[in-house]
Amino acid sequence: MSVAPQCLSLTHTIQSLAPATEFVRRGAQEAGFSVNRLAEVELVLEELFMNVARHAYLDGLPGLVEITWSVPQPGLLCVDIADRGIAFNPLTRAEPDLNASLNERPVGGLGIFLIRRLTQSLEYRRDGNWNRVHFEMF
Amino acid sequence: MKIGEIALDTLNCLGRRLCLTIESTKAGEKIILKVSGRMDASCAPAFEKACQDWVDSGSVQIVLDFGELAYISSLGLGSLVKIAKQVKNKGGSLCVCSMTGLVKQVVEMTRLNLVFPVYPSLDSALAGG
Repeated sequence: MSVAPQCLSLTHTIQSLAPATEFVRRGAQEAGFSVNRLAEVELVLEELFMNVARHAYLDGLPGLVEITWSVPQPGLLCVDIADRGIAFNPLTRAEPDLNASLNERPVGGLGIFLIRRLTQSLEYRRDGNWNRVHFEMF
Repeated sequence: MKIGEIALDTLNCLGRRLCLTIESTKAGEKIILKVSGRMDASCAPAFEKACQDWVDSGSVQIVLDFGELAYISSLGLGSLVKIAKQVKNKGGSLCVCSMTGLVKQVVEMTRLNLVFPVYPSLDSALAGG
């Protein structure tokens, strides 16, 4: 059975991470995901949400994040994360060098790599004043 | 001998408990940090500070027991890399043991298991580290 799109609006602060994760977790449960796949969904959501929290709004004022999920068919979860921050395509980040030694490893830079590895579809588009990232997992 | 414990424990707006517990134990020259719960963006700084405090105090033989860690995100991985660099620069060693589930999957996916020693159990970490 499909589940119609569900939407949640939040501010872009780290305090919104837990409710954002919980919200999308419900979608993954509706899709019938395993416990391990639920954790992967949480990870993808956190990486994308924190990307907005850290980079989208630079004026220090609370910014809007809209999260929408749907289950168009059993076993398929579709999620959109939208913000009205500065135009920023997170998918343009370079792939990390996973063969680098400890000394050569940067402290960050693994989030987008993990998202790419754990999702089946991942897209970014600039829609007027909105950044919109869409991902699908099954 | 248990010598310290840090618990970060919050309830989100939906009442779901999110917590990270870091229990410190000394075994000879080694400090065992048993990390339980979830290491997400909210909790990774607490983990990093707990490790940092030990490094600053001169304890640079660190065993991270992730047997009861259920979740880690890229910020937690970044904290791991940062602490591992500091420990190495001070001539110490850092290893991770007992990983399961998503934590093991993510560490292996990012090949961090090739950057610092990983052991299947605490006993093997203490014997081999």
